[in-house]
Amino acid sequence: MSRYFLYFVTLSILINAILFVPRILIDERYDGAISSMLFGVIIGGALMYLFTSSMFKFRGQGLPEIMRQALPKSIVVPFLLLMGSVSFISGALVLINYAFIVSRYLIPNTPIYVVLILFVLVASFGAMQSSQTVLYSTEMILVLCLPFLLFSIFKAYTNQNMNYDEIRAMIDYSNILPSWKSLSVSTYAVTGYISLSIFNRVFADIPKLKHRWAVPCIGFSILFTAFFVPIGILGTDGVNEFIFTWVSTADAIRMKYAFIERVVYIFLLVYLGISYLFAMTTWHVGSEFIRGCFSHYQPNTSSINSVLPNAISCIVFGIGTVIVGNWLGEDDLFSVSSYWMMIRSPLDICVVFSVYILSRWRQAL
Amino acid sequence: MQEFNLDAHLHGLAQSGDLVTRKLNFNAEAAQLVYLSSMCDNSTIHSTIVKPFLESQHLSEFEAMLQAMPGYEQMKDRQQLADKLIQGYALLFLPRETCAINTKKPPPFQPQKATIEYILQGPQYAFSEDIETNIHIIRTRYPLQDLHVEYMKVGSVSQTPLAIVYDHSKVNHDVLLCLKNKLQQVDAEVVQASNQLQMLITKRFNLLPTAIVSERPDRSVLNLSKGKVILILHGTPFAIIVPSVFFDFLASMDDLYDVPWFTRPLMALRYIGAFITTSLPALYVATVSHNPEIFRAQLAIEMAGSRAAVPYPSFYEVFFMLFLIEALTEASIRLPKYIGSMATTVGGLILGQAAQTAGLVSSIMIIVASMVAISNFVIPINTMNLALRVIKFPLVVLAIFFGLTGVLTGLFCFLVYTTSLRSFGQPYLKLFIGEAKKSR
Amino acid sequence: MKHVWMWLAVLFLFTGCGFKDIDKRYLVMAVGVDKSELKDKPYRVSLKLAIPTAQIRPGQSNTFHLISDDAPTITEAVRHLKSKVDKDLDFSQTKILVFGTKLAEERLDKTTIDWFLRKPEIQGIAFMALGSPTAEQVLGVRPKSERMPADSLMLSFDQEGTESSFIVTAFLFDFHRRLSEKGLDPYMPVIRPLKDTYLIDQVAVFDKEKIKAVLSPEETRIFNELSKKISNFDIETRTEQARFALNVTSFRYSYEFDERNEAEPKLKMNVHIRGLSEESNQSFYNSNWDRYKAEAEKEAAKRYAHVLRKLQSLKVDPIGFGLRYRATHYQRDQDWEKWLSIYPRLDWNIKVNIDLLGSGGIK
Repeated sequence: MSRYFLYFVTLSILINAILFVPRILIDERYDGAISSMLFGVIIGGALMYLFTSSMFKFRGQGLPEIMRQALPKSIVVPFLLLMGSVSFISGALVLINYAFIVSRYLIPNTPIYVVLILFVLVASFGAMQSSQTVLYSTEMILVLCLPFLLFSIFKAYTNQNMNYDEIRAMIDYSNILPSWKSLSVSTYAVTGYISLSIFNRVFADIPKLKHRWAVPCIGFSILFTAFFVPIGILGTDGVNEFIFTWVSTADAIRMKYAFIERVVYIFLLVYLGISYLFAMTTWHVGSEFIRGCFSHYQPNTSSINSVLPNAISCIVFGIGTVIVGNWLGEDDLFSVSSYWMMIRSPLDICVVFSVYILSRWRQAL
Repeated sequence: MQEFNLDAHLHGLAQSGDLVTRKLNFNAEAAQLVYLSSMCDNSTIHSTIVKPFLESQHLSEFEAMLQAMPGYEQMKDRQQLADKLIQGYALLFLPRETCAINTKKPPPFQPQKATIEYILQGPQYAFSEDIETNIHIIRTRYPLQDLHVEYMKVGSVSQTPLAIVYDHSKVNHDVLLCLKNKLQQVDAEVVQASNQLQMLITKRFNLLPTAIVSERPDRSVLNLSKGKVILILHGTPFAIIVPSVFFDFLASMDDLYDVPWFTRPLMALRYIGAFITTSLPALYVATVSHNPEIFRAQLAIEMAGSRAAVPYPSFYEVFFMLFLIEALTEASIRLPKYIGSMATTVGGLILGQAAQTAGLVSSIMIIVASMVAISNFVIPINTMNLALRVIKFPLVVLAIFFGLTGVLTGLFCFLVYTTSLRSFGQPYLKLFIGEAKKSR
Repeated sequence: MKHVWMWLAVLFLFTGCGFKDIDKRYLVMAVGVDKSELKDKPYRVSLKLAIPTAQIRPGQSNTFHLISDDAPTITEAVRHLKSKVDKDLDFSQTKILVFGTKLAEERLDKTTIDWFLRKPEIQGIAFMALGSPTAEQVLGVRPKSERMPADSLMLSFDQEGTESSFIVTAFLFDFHRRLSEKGLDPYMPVIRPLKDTYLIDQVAVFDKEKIKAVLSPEETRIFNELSKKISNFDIETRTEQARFALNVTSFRYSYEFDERNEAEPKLKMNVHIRGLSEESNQSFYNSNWDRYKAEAEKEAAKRYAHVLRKLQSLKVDPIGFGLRYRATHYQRDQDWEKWLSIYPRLDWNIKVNIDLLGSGGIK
């Protein structure tokens, strides 16, 4: 069962590393982005260790239940609402970002709100399933998508036009201390472990979370790839001129003998699936948090269809996503997402430490 | 006289519904006759046991007559009793000894040849329409004490006999309980077909079947050995296997009988077939009308050339050809012989060729339509076959509006929907289930 | 009834999508950009449009429609060209981008290729080339064996059909990268139209702004070896003692900077070549192979040095020595400035190592 935990973390690294990180880290590539990746992964990994071991003290319980037991309602309800919205917003940002990409590359001439309505419907449909269904679908879709993704990354590394000199030239800039922005962005990439606060309910029957050491390794290798492959292919200076860095990088790779010659289409389609998956899990986590605010609730683990609060929260945030996505421009999107990550990282640290304190408190009792 | 304790002798079988016990009373002593009604022939029992019993005055006389009968065996080993019983022997518990007499039923209902789930080299016969024969077949193939058979009736008017067969030591009792509950709740008036019962005990509007309906005894027995429950309805040559997961529907029995070098690629072929039959029409619409950029230049030019004669948008030709194919499949079921279906399929392709020359559809569409039709029949279980035939239509609609994005969205939703299904409490689609490898 | 309205509403939402059948699109196979004669409309854009055929037949199915227009910008030209055709222009299969020599001599930089990079459907892996004398003339050629329009150019650059060591390939994304990279300069192959075919055996080297020089075919071949490390070329040795040609089967080179002497920086290059002899005026067997080898090595080194010196004198660096210098030195921006001062006085120290594998089919 512990493999499901790895799926979530991998999923969030994949999404953040490819959609947001290149844009923001590459902007800061001469100002400490490289060291920020290393520090970010280390900080993220440490937080992950702390969080998972604290959560595992509460066998089979989600964060809403844990907080209800320990804290008064006047603290719990706002906290859960905040956590729920945070989770919803991180999913919504991915949806909006990908809607931009899709309406640019895959279905041009389609208004963005139509694409967003489709995305929101799919994400809500997925989010309203039970936690177990979300787990199984995550595994299923990742297993289907990852081979294509790994193969395109392999192609990128072995590509004739991949210039390793550019990467080596970039390494000169690795001994610069990172800025807060790039550090928080790198830490944010490894933030998938937060979803354990809901999925801990399903992990009741495993004694210990195995392979946690893999998380920093996966995190660092994906971040490294996401940062250096575009530089190696698009140039140390040229890379700065692209908006969707990885889409342009994939567009520069070709597979001469494949059925689809242009890797960019394989990449876009695979990432569509991964984005749906990410939105589905984050929205599921968000809706479960919000459901935890109501007193007469039951943790939703085995039933097939979920109850009203989930649906309502999904609809509210879905409508919000469509409106915001329609109103945001492309340049806004990136500044909004970088601000979002700068807010999000301290928030995650707060959550981790509060859960840690709760677990110590419980032990003391 | 001490009361005869059946359970002490035949521990596992005592609860079995087809177990018959008779007390044969002599003056002071009594003999106990035990047999399985599904396995034994009534007239043989009459002539070899009941008739000597009526004619004899004393127990010793009866014993002597029995010993003269063909198929008489004296049982020394208590352990063998149940085995003998299952093999179709009648057991006689006499005060001083125990004997077994062969009263095996000659297979009364000739089972039919398997036609729907035909495989090349493997068991060739399917179930018959008679419930007793079917249980006979299962018992012969699965001669274990733990095999339990329970009878009940479904249908408030038809009162169709139904047998619930399972291996007591392996079955998941939650599943059994859930199944029995569902069966109690069935309130149809007339139940006549396994598919109908399958639908009644699962959710009616499920897009995918969550219980296999199979005509193959070997498939049923294999599933019994994996702890699943078999339902046998009187009057249909099909068994219902619960619970079933998605992968079961794409497995053929051949997969167990041949070397993995052949069967694994064939399994892969079936999954690819399932993918093609659901999504190829949608992919055609998506690539021709929204995303021709994924083709190579040469293919794109050829496609544009072959579509040049077609006056309507691409989805018209897709719907036209799909209608043709579905109509042909439907028509071929009504035809008496399966060879007829081949003829109509070929005829359909010729019709398609004509449609192409007439400029109604493009030549690539003909290929697409025939690929869809052929790969549909790669799927071994008919109910899944039907379900996948339905799914391609919503995918085509999504492709019309969103191109490749739409197709992928549809597939994603379909996957999430499939994983959200539960077959009697068991997850329907889950990777790495870790099934026992023993049967391989 | 409620459901019907709901579905109609959904359908209404989705109208206005980009549904357009492939036969209603005109596939643009190649784009040519030239400098026009008009002052206020400097760009002359030509599009090679494929006329679709249901069956591909070499030499017959390569029918195309060539349209061109003058305009102040490429966008305007394409917009105006749309009114010349009956179908929607689709740039998703555009694989060949040809620029006129005149345009390149004046200015070919980011602003020129900006339109191509900005348009999402144009492939990053499109091939770029110079058309000499004009791009329009290059696009107008209809080779005899072609299966579809612009196919023969695609095959040539692809190295899928012909594998000529004279044909240099430049991708759009690569050209863009080279336009901004310090220590890596852009280049492009030059296509010269003949009557029924093309001749692609030259390369034009650029600084970051415009064309600097066009190398001769012989230089182009060596340039191709050095920049792409291709290994399907041959080496000719012509001295008084011997005349023979080598068919190279494997080729690699490595180099390092020697800065021990500040005043005379050196670049030490080691070239390793393995090959079979292909054509010779005398028998190879039972003779002194080493002597031939030494001759060939000397000849080859001379040729590499010639091309490298020529590039050096033109002050361009398409092979990327500057980038390598930046990669191997760790002073950040100072590396680059130092390289700028070193490059003009760099001394080339080339050592070629030839491994003669055999003499081919005969002695």
